Amino acid sequence: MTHILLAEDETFIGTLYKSHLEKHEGVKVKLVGNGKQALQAIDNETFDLIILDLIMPTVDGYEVLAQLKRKENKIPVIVMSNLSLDIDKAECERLGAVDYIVKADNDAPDIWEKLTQYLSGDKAGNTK
Amino acid sequence: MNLQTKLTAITLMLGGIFVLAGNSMVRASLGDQFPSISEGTLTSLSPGVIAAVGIALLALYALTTLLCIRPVHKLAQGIKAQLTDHQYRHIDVYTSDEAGQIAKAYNRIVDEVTELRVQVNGFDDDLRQAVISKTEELEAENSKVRGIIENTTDWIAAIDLDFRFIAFNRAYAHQFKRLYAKTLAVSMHLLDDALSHFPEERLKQRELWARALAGEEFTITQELGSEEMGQRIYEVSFHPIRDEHSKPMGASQLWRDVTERKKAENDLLRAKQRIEQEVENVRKFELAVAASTDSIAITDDTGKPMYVNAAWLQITGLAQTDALHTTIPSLLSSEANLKIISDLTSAIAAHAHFHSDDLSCTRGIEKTQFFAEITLYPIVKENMPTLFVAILHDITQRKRVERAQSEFVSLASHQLRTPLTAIRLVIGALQRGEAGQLTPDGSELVKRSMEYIVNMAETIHTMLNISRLEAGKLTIKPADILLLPFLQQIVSDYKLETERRKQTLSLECPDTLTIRSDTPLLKEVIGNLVNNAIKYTPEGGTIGVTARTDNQRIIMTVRDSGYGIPVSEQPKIFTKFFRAENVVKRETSGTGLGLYLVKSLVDFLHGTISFTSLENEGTTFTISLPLTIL
Repeated sequence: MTHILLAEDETFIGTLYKSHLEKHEGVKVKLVGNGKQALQAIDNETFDLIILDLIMPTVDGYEVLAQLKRKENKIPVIVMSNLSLDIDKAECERLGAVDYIVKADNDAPDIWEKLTQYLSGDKAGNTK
Repeated sequence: MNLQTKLTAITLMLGGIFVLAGNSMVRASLGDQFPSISEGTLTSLSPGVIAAVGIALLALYALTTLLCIRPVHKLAQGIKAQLTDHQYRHIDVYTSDEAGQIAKAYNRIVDEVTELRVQVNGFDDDLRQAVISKTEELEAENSKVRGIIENTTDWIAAIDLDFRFIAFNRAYAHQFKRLYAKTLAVSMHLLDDALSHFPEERLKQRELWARALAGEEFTITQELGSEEMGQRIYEVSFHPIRDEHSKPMGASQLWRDVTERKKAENDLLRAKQRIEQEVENVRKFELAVAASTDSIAITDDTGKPMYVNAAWLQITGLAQTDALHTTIPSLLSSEANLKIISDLTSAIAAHAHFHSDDLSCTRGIEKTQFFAEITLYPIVKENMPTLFVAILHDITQRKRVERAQSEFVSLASHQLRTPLTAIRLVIGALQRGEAGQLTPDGSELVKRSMEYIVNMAETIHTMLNISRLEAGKLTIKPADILLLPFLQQIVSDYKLETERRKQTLSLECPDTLTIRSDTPLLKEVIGNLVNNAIKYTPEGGTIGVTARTDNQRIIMTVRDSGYGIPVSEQPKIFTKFFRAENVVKRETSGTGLGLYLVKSLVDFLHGTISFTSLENEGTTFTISLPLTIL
């Protein structure tokens, strides 16, 4: 079972990702709409991977990363944003993100492919 | 009876006696050889009478001698002694008659004279002594003066109203001889003799001396040159010589060699002028620096200001004294700047140049925040760092504008991408049949839509990069890049795309090849070229990426077996919005910005880009980059 937390404020996009990712066997995606909910979810549940948007209401992706860094988080965090400046990427890297994906430049299958690099062995499911 | 009469009478009498006596006695002894004049008279006297008369006469003679002849004789002797050898002595007084009176008077005179002489002699001695010592003194002084005049290196001469030399010293004579080959002598005529062969000099000297002889006192400067001495400068002073009635009776001339003095004076003058010029320059600089709107501080080699201008005080909000006691690192220090301040401190210690435009500082007591750019130049003198010039700019406004611009472009692209993401996901899902099987026409439409979506995503990406490049927002952050994994990553990023198009994508790169460059920018360059190669190569084609080193440069190529670029269009391919006609027909996506961005980035990375292309055979882009970018 692969448990992925997806923080994405655009619900439609979040839903599309969730449905695509969950087509893979054993993948369960928890979709939250902002950073605050993401942090609560991390506190309450166990995840194998966190996918984090940057621009979100209440608590943004940077703040989530900063708090996770303070909590010495071990779960791989992949930032998925439509910001693409080097400073954004560098800041995320500094705050502990393992990868940075520009959403508009990637199809759902491309994204899945990237995610699998951070999912260990048997947790990476196959398409149903 | 006076002495004269008495003497005359006595003498006549004595004469008569002796003539008579003598005549008879001679006659008696010699016989009668001489006839007697009064023979008849004498022969008539008897011998007794004769004897008695003789005795009487002798007595008379003795008396006469004693009373008359001797005192007069003594008197005469005394007077003679007085007259001949200035001896004044008493004479004996024999009688109390006139002779005796004279002798007494004489003796009184002798006493007085002797008395006077004693007085006079005493007076004479004092006078003589005084005269002697004065003379000696004058002689000593004279010899001193002569010594000075003779031994001085100044040339001294004096002439009379007739232009004849009265005097000159050795130096003058020596120089005169040297200059005019003439041995001077006193009384020699300066013009008609001494300078007779030098008409020009003669004229000049006459004019000058004439002025002095007329009573003028003046000094001129004269240059004389010779091979042995070089060019020398003399000060020639003329002085009139006057007699006790202040009437000119001659003139003197003194030549003094003032070459060294003049040289020193000139040097001094030049030095003074130079210093004045320097001071003027410094003053100008100071005014310029003081009035500069840039904040400028001049610090010692530890970064402590020695000078700050008005703008510096304004930007830092410090009073003059505080500003001079606040080192540059402590001035700029804040929690946000720790890294920069540490670098700055190291730079000061190493006496190195330093620049940062990323400082966040506070101003004054109110702690107003501002963004600053600092530039620190070490001023090195004789290999010794002596001071730093620090220039501080308040770039808050600039930062704000830049941030706004940057945020705007960044946010604009973000806002464009968000709907695009949704569309892409939907079209992707449709393409994959996740919403049910599509008709062939529907499938074709969806495929074309996806091409537009991809193109648009790329366009946003490229435009964002171009806007940043053109705004000067791109900076090179040099890093050592191991090329094999770097290129493998790019190739793998395009793996899906090439597989989809059934193309072969190969990579050739020595596994130790390293370049020092900017990773994201280089990735952008190679990624764009690979993307182009894939896009403009038909299905089943080949794409190859190579890297090698050549003469301190890294050569990378991206080769495809694609459509190629028509020869007629090759010169324009790096211009903005260029799209080749042959590809426009086949491939609708593309903005014409990709190669423009590539070329701009390669230039930015100090590299060059070239290409070879044959239509329908393919294109090879070659990039040459420095092995190390500074």
